[in-house]
Amino acid sequence: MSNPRVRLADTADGPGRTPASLVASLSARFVALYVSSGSDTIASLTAGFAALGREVSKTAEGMRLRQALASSRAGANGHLLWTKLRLAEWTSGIFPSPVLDQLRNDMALLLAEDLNQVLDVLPLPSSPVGLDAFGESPRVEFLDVLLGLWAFSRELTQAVETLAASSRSAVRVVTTAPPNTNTSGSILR
Amino acid sequence: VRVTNEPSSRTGGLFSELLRLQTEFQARLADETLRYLRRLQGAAAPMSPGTVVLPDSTAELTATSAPGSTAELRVEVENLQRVHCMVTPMLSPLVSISGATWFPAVEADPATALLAPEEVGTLTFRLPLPENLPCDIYKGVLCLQGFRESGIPVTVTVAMSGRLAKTQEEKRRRPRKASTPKTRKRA
Repeated sequence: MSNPRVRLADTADGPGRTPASLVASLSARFVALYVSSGSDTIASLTAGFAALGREVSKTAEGMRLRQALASSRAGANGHLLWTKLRLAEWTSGIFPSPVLDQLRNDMALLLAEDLNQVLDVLPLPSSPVGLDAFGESPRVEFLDVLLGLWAFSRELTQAVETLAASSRSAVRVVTTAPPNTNTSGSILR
Repeated sequence: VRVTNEPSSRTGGLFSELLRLQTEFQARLADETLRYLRRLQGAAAPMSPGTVVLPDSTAELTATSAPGSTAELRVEVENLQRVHCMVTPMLSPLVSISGATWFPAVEADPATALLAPEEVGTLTFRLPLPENLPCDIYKGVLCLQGFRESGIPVTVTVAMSGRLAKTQEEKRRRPRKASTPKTRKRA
């Protein structure tokens, strides 16, 4: 009996994932840093981690982790800091950076075969998000951000290990030169 | 109009009420303007190309297992994109028809798959079933984290194995021995 199959495809409402569109998106992110404040950039990233955390919280593993954190002192203190410093007001309502998409796109660029040809035709125009992308953004909570950071860092670790796995050598001991046993002289023995 | 600082003054009270309303209005206006400007700024943010999941119309992961054993689910993932794609699958809590919720400790192999263009990878999930899990049909969703409109339906049927079910049935049918009341000797 064959296993069920799912296919991964480009989104219908945006540019497809090609090396050119990924380079355009990456370079546009750097350009955007010139026209946005540090505060907005960090708030946008934080909102992006929170969006990821909300998604992960729907899974069995994420829900278990969230419940454990919520009932711990770390969860209570984090929530207290988050509320008193009014961090939810700072990070809510801003465009959440699609942090996981960006990570995956950057990883795909590292593996692209025709990256040289694409970089030769820079600068490439990037599409803006547009106002249609804005839905009703939920309030950014402390636990959402914490879970988002967990999911993001786990994926980053696994991605780097997967990238290195293909070319990682199985040899664990490297001998550079045979030990010289015929040393002579009064000092070096 | 006389304006005094005394709280009991009627004129001052009216004036302060007017001032409070004006301040609230200005604060709300500033808040809404800031929110609008942030949205406008976000609209100019660069778009990140993403991925969607296209499941087969019949794609459903099913498994049948007994409590105390391990259920196994498999799904094939095909990358139709022109660059590498990373897949991190996660399972939602499974809910039975009778209302029991099971939070499975899933072992995904691989935990994160990196698929080259046109590559087909197989993801395997092992779900250890707790001993005390009630026999029922559990339904949930396999989420491919980070992909828009993701989710593949999952059904795990938890049923006792034939031998165990037979033993339990025999135990249920066996007549109970009449218990003899304990007698206590009087001192």
